[in-house]
Amino acid sequence: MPKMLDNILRNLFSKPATVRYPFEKPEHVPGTRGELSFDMSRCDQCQDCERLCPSGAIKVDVEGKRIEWDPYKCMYCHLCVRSCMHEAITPLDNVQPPGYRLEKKVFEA
Amino acid sequence: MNKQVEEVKTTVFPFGPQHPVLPEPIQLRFVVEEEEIVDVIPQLGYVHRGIEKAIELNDYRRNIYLCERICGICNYMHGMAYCESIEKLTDTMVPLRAKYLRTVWSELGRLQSHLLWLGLFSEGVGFESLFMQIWRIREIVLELNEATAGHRIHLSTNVIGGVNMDMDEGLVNRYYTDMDRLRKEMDTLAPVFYKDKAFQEKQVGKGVLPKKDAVHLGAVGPTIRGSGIPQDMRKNYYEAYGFLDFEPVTYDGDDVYSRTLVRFDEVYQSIDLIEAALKQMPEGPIVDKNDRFPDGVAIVRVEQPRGECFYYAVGNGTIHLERMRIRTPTLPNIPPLLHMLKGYEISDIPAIVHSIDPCMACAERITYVDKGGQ
Amino acid sequence: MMDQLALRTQTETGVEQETQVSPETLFLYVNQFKAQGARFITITTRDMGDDFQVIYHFEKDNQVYNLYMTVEKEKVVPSITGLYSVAFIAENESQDLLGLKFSDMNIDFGGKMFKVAPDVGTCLLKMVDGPRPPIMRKLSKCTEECPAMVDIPRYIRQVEKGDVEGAYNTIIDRAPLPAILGRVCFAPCQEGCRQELETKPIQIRMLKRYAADCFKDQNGGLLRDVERKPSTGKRVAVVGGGPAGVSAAYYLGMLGHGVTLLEKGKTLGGAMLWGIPKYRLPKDVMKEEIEARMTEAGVEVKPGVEVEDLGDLMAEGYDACFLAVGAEKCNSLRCEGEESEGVINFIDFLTAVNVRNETPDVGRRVVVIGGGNSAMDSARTARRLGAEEVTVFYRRTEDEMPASIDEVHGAVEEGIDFDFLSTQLTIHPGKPLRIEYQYMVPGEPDESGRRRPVPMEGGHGFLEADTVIAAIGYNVMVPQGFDVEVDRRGRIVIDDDYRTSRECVYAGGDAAFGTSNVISALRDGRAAASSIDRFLGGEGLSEAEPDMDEFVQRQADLDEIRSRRQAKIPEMDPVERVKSFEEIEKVFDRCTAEREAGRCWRCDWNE
Repeated sequence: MPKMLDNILRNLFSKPATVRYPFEKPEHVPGTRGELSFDMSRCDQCQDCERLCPSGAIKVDVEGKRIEWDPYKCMYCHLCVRSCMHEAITPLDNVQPPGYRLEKKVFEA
Repeated sequence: MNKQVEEVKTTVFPFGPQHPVLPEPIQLRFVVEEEEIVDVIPQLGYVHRGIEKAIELNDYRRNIYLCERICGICNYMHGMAYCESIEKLTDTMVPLRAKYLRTVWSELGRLQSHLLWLGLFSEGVGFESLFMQIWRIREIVLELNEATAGHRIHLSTNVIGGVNMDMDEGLVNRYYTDMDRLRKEMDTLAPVFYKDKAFQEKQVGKGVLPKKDAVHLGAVGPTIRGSGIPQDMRKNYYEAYGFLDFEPVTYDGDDVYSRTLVRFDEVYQSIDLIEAALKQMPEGPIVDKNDRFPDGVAIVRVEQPRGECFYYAVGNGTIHLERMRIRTPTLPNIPPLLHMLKGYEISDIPAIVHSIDPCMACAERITYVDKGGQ
Repeated sequence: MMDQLALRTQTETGVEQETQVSPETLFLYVNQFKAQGARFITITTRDMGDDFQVIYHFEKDNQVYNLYMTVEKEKVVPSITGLYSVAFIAENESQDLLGLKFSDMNIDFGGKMFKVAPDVGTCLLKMVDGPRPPIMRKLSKCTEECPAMVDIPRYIRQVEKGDVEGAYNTIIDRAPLPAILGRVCFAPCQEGCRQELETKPIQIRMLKRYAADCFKDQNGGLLRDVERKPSTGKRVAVVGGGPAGVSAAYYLGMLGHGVTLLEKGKTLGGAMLWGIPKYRLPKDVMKEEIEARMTEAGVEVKPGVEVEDLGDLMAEGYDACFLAVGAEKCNSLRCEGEESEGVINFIDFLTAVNVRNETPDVGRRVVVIGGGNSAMDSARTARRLGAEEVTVFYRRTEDEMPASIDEVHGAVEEGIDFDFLSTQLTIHPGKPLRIEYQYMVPGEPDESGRRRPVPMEGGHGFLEADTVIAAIGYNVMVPQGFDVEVDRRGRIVIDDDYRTSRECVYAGGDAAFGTSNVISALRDGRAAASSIDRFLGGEGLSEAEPDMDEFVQRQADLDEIRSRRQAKIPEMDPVERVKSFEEIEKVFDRCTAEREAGRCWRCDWNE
């Protein structure tokens, strides 16, 4: 019985363990694997990132110098970031927010 | 004397594939005679994704990500076992610091998996707020994962030849603090698991698997360790386990309760192993790559939270592997499950099915036949 | 304690014992395992095409034992569930998914255990068509930039490993003169190298020269031990012994045809002989390499024969003919006084120096008019002949000069002056000559995109010189007797297959495309040889495409490789250089060459 009381009081006065996402955001940890951003001035369309991507989320248009990245197919494994020889891909530090439509992001030179 | 011939009626009713207690779909059809189970017929195949074939068709460097996604709960060890098999096929030596890091993260994965199981099991036997408590404790581990590698569940730090992320002083100190916190939280739960009579009622004496049956039926993991047999793949001293001092946790009860206690004690053991490994970790490089292609045959066995996982890899010197066979721990635990269900009542089903920790997502990824008639 | 723990390092859980069994002897071994208390792990089945390979995995005393069994596809395998009842899951798997038949299983799901998807639905990874897994490999940028599509990453890897002979052969496969190219090629591949964004392209040209020079040292000469294809009985005549002609003759000879090479001069080489100075391409190296190729291909060389009429030539019994006569007509200065004594055109000047080994006296001051590589060659040659002041006039700006940057830089180092935006008006005869020139300013762009220079108001200048060398370009002049169609600039008209308007006659090189460079001429020779071979009933030569059977990986230690600096080509000191015609560039030593070759990123790697 005293143990139960102790438990009840403790739970009554501590803050909730859950976070009401998406109205409140959880604590941000630096180094989260987040979205990609392509720096087209350094890219030379070698298609290495397209070949290596495990889920096929990157499509490179060689003549038009455009890159299409699908944030809903991407696994955020950052293999492309590590393997780009010109370091043209930078990972951002955020959590990909949910969206209403399946859209791709386009990066152009 | 009248011979009374009783007509015993048998009913067959399905359990699954969707059930609040099951984490993943499996169908068991129970043949019952008035509340007592006589026979069980399993039906698998609901989560089949054709991963073994997909591994053959893919470049061997990208398969790490594929293997990690065989199961969400035991993901780190799948990736690590795959990397180990490729390292054997290409004759790569992993540096010592990488071995320690892999050990620490495997144990973190084991912590996360056991805590998940403890929560689901408590809910299965009716203790719902205990489930919430345990998952709140599990958040400590998930946040630690995020601080280490960026993701809460898929650490993805394995590469062929080592790991690709390192831990600095600040992170190591954070690990120590979090492990202390975890231990304190587990201490508040220990009375429930060890002493609570209502909790034990549902488990003691149920789902008994005697020792010789356990060996004969080929059970692995906590299922067999709950029957007193110390079988643990970590004693093969892969990765850095050779430098750590530990013994497999066994209990002699042969029933569901001893398996629960095995897993509970393994949480403490994992915490101790993480702290010991972090203290002993040497400085040095974390990856050692080479550019040979995988060739030959390799066998790797790792200890996942649910038991022994077996990887058999065949390479032929090109970028595609010739064959990869993965036998995950839930699969050999199914025959013991079928055996131990007989003779108990319907209301015991959730506890018993849960006690082998069914992770069907792991269990089904066998060769996928192309419609073209291969 | 630590030592004890350290000793307990990982035991090899690789493959321990493997035994081959057949369905008949299977139970012998399984019974043995059962008696020894082994544990069953699983069964692996592989579809090997005509039969199945079934592997049984057992574990005993912490070691894995495998039994390998090969069965034909329709044969029935006895089930081991009598001994190991837990094997039913693995056996049902194999039965459901591969069709392997078992008999007497204790629990048989009859094909309903795993629901095989009726069609290939959505999958996280890329879909596959057909049984062969897809491999993506593409040509690297350097190969695509090369006019002859030499397989550059491949020979760089061969140089890195020390396989100089392999590298030499790889280059000759598409361009037959590596020792020459390694000294004179303008190397578009180096501009295509992906490392150029960081301004550190691989020294591809020097590695080519290294491969050739090392091969010569190892082999005692440039002659290789290769075989021609069996003789086809056809005869082909090649007119012109320049790069295009030598290349076509080599490839046709290797394909088995009987080739006769007819050259107007006494030595083979063409523009390589008279046009490229000795400090860039020593003539003995050139002769040795051309002779080596001609000997390997079994070509009959007839120097000193000038062809005037093609009809007479074909009547000697040739089945086809290739014209590679090159370009020789120098463009005129179009100014007054160009006939004066002391004004020479660069073709005569360079031919005298390079071919006849003369040392004409150019006096103390020399003016070279023009901005291409020939102007640079003339200026630097004049410097070596004793001229103290050499000035180069060019009517546009420095950025628009067509000469390669290395040549201009070398000229500047040797003390040659440049006068940009100047053009000649009149040359007053006398000793010394007086050149009246006009300053220009850039005007509107013309059809090539470069700005057309316009005379500046009142900008006149005078300069005195002992010799004026005209180097403003040259053109093709084909003899009338050839009777082939030419365009308005004198070039022979050809179609995509290098055919001319006359039957059985092909053309290529400078004669067909106008003045270009050595590597383009070598490309023309090979392509025309392929075309001629098909005309004569053969299959032609292969196109450049990535080799799908070779597997290439990026290097493992990329960080270390990226920190290496580009190796600089060792050159003679500028002050020493101008005293003689000795070769300026020295080849790499072995250590530098292998280190430079190791810097390559291997852009032609497999996916």
